[in-house]
Amino acid sequence: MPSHARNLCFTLTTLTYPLAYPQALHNVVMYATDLALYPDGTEGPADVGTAFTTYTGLNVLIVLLAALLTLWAPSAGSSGLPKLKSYLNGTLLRALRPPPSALRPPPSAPTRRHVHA
Amino acid sequence: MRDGMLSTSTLVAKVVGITLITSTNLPLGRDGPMVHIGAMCAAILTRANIPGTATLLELRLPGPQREWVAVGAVAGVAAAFNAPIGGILYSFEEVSPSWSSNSNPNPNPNPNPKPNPNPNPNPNKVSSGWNSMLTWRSFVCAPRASRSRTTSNPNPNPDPHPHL
Repeated sequence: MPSHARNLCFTLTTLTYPLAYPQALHNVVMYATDLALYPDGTEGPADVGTAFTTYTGLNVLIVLLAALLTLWAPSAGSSGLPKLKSYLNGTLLRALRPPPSALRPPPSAPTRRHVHA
Repeated sequence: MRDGMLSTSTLVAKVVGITLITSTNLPLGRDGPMVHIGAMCAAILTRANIPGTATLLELRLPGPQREWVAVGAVAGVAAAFNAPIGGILYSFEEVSPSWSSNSNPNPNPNPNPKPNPNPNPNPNKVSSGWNSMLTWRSFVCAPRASRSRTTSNPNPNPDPHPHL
């Protein structure tokens, strides 16, 4: 097996390991916080605050990584279904994403056609 | 074309991002993005430089490429929910709800260079939407996608609350 294929397999395995075994992330937290695993199966965290901070920090770090990926490929940030439906029904929308809220003009005042009373 | 909806970069970002998000137990993803992932896999397959397929019009014309994208959406839903018929119905109803004729309604029965006795009345028409050919191809594709998911799942029955 060539080296780049082996590296790809290693990367894919590392990335999909938490999906297949959700215990992996928990084991990482246990190792990081030095939690005790008692013989009867229960775990005794020495410091709940440290464990909570570590777990939350790891989760936020992973979510931040996933969010930074959308800067690299912006089309992966949305659902993809609107663009997919428009493409399959004969229209290719190149800019479906709206502008940022800070650059958008404020909403107009309600007019008569908005009133249904 | 990193910004494209059906590009390789978007596929990589989608797969890695959804994997990361799912590993954090956030109530996001894993089923809806599979539609997009399947469509991107099909679109990349139609654009790949596979030896021997350079003149295969089934891959190179825009109409059949759209059909491949629709079948990719079928495979994505079938693999996400382990439901082949559900994937076909979802793509038929939600993803490509419009109906169109088959992409080559009048195939030439004669070898070249004989002219086609049944020429396409509208040769500029690009097939977009669902057609009867697509239904049969989906019935070929969806069970294989579902079976692939079933056989490659290392943890088929995970404990939903392993620490409680």
